[in-house]
Formats: sequence, structure tokens, C-alpha cells
Amino acid sequence: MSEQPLIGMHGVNKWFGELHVLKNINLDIDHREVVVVIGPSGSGKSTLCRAINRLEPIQEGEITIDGERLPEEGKDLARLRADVGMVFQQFNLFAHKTIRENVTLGPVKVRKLDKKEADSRAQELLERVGVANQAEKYPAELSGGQQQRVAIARALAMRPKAMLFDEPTSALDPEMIAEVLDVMLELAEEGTTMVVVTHEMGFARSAARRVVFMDEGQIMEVAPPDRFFDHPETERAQDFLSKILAH
Amino acid sequence: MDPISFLIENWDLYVNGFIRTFQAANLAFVFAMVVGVIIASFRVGPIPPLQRFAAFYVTVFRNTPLLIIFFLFFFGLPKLGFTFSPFTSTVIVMSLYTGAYLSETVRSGINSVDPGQAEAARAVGLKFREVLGTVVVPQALRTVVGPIGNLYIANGKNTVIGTTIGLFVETTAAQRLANSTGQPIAAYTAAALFFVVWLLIAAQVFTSIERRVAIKR
Repeated sequence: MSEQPLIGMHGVNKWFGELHVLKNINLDIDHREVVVVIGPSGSGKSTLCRAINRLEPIQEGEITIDGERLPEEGKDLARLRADVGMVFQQFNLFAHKTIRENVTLGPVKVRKLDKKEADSRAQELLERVGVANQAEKYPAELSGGQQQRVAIARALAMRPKAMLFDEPTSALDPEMIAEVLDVMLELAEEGTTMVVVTHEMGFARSAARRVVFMDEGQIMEVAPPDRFFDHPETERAQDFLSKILAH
Repeated sequence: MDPISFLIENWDLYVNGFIRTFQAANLAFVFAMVVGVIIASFRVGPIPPLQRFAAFYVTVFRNTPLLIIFFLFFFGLPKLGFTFSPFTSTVIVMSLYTGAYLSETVRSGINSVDPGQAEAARAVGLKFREVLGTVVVPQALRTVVGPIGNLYIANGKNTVIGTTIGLFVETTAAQRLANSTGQPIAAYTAAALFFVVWLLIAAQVFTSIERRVAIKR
């Protein structure tokens, strides 16, 4: 473990108009750490995740990636974003490109890899997420679970330092959730640095080193999963857990 | 004389005129596409002066009668020391004019692309220009092939206004023939036939392009 955190958030505040959506967020994420962010909807957990690669600009505070402060919009930001993989709730695969092209676009355009090398890397990654036989198809021809696995491959193709998952299974049918979580678990076991916003408590328990519980734009509690799920400290967390675990 | 016999009798004159129209219109349309995509990109881009310039450009060209733009360009610019041939003038004026309309069409296409597409492209590390050029505009254009086809047809017909500044097109040929033969109905109907055939084919081409590039959903 290197001494400085891979992702650092210090005194981060964000408003949507009058609404204070991130309140004084302080969170350091180490190399090879898996952090799962949970909380009720509207708690700011997605915004926190999206702030890390500045898809959501913040008004106050500082976010660093590998010691480097997130710059303003521009080519330095683009370079930094390339080092942070992102997986979206709605997959957001490029609709006009084949599965293979989705995975090679970034490496070719941003990393300047030659086409052949990018293709072979794509093939390798698509095999790893189990959709290699779909490489020539278009996103809409795949199931949601397959699309999300391609989205993970697309992010991994950039060889990112960290992966952000913004509710990656929330738009999936139940039978497809497992296939995506399996891929994520594998990544976690390999030591990928991950920030995962999710409602999948099973995943949080088995993959997370720390669980971050958010409510109303604040981080209420940070704890290892066993302690968090078995003995939540704050009343809000106890309340939240009793609601989601009641059924 | 009926228009068809009239046309056959004066075939060379018409065909030469038509080729001119066809060249001017197509050349202008290609440039207009470039203008349209650039102006639309300015409009959706993050740089306020470019946004304002693009809005101003569209306002000026959409709200000025085409005939006046032609006259200003052809009779006004020489006063400032710029002189172009009727053909070049027609191509430039039509590029700018049709480009203004195309930019609005392209912009509506851009607005129809799911914002998640641009977000994903930014997250991969593409710069603003690459996000537009490789992800957003290619998808935007696919959704507006139909409206672009309409503008192609309008552009083809509007190019004829170039005759007013001395561009020799088939309408000019028809005009001359109408005067010399005293048969305006046959002369102009024959000219119209070229447009009908040309633009019907063009419409078919755009329909098939639309089908081919449609994004599977």
C-alpha cells in the first residue's frame, strides 16, 4: 500500500441550485481498496460517485486522483478521466458502434494504441466478461446483463487506476444481476480499486473492505461490512437496514 | 409544341444547363453540411462567444430572403473589392444559406442523442471535440437523414435563384427558349422535368440512406 490514497475527497460540497447534495464529504480510498456506497435514494451517493471523475462538478473542496487534483474541464481532465473507469446504471454503450468498437474506441483514440493491439485487448476482455461471441453485434442486440458486462470491459480496456460503478445493476432484470456481480467480484478479488454505488447488500458484504453509508448528502458512517451490517452505529443506518432487510 | 418534343429538340441546351445546376447545388450542399456541423457544434459547445456567433449566423441567414443574399453578395461585394463568378457566388451563397438550416437540423439531432452517450464518451477520456465527432454527431446525423434530405431538395431548387445573377442553368436555357420561341409553357415545363426527376431520385437515395444507417434499438 502506497502512503497516499488513490482517490481523495476533502471538504467536498455541491449544490444543485438551493439543494445541498454533498455536504462536507471527506473520504480517502486506498490503492486496491473496494468501497461500497449505500444509502436511500436521494442521499447523494450517485453524485458522490460521479464527482470523482467530474461528471458532476463540485463547488467546494478538493478531489484528487493519485495525488493529482482534478482540473477544470479540458484536456487535462480528459487525461485524468481516462485513468478512471466508469460503469453507468444505463450502460451507455455507444449505440452506433459494435461491441468490439465500443471496447476499442478509448484505447485507440485516447491511448493511441494501434488498431490490432486494441482489437486483441478487446477480444481478451470480452472473453473475460463472457461476451466474446457477440463482438460484431450492436449494443441493442444484447441483453441488459450482457451490455453491462461490455460496459465493464470498455472501462477496463483503458487499464484504469480505479473503477467507478454507479448503480451498475439497478436497471437489470433480477436474473441478470448475478452475471454482472460475478464479474465485479472477480475484479474485486484481483485487487482492482473500486467505488461501487449499489443496493446489492450481498455484494457489499462479500466484496467491500469498507461500506460508506450516506444520507441527505452526508457520509453518516464508514465501517467494514461485517460491523456495518451487524452493528450499525447511527440511527439512520439502523433504520435504513431494517427497511431493506425486512423482506 | 408539347414539352417532351420541345425538350428533345433543345436537348443540348437543357442538359448543359442542368449539369451546371446539378454541380452548383451538390457542391454547395457538401459545403453546407460542413458549415452546418460546425455551426451546430459551436451552438452546443461550451464557448459562449462561439455560441453567440452561431446563433447570430443562423438568425441572419434564416431571416433574410435568399434573393437579397444573392444580390448583396454578387452586387455588393465587388464594391468592397471582392468579385466572384456567378457560379462561385452561387455555390458560396447556397453553402452559407443551406448551412444555416442544416445547422438547426443537426442541432436538433444532437439534442435527441441520449446525454448518457456523451457522458460515457467523456468518462472514457475523450476531449470535447472527440465526444462530438466520434459519438454524438454520428448518432445525431443518423436520426436526421430525413430532414437533411428535405434540405437537399430545397437546396437544389433554390440554386436556381443563381440565374438572377447570371448563372447559366437550365432555367436560364428555358428562359431564353421561352422568349425566342414564344412557348413559355413548353419551355418551363421541360426545365421543371429535370428537377422532378433529379429530386425524386434524390429523395429515394435519402430514404435508402436513412434505412441503412438507422441505429438498431
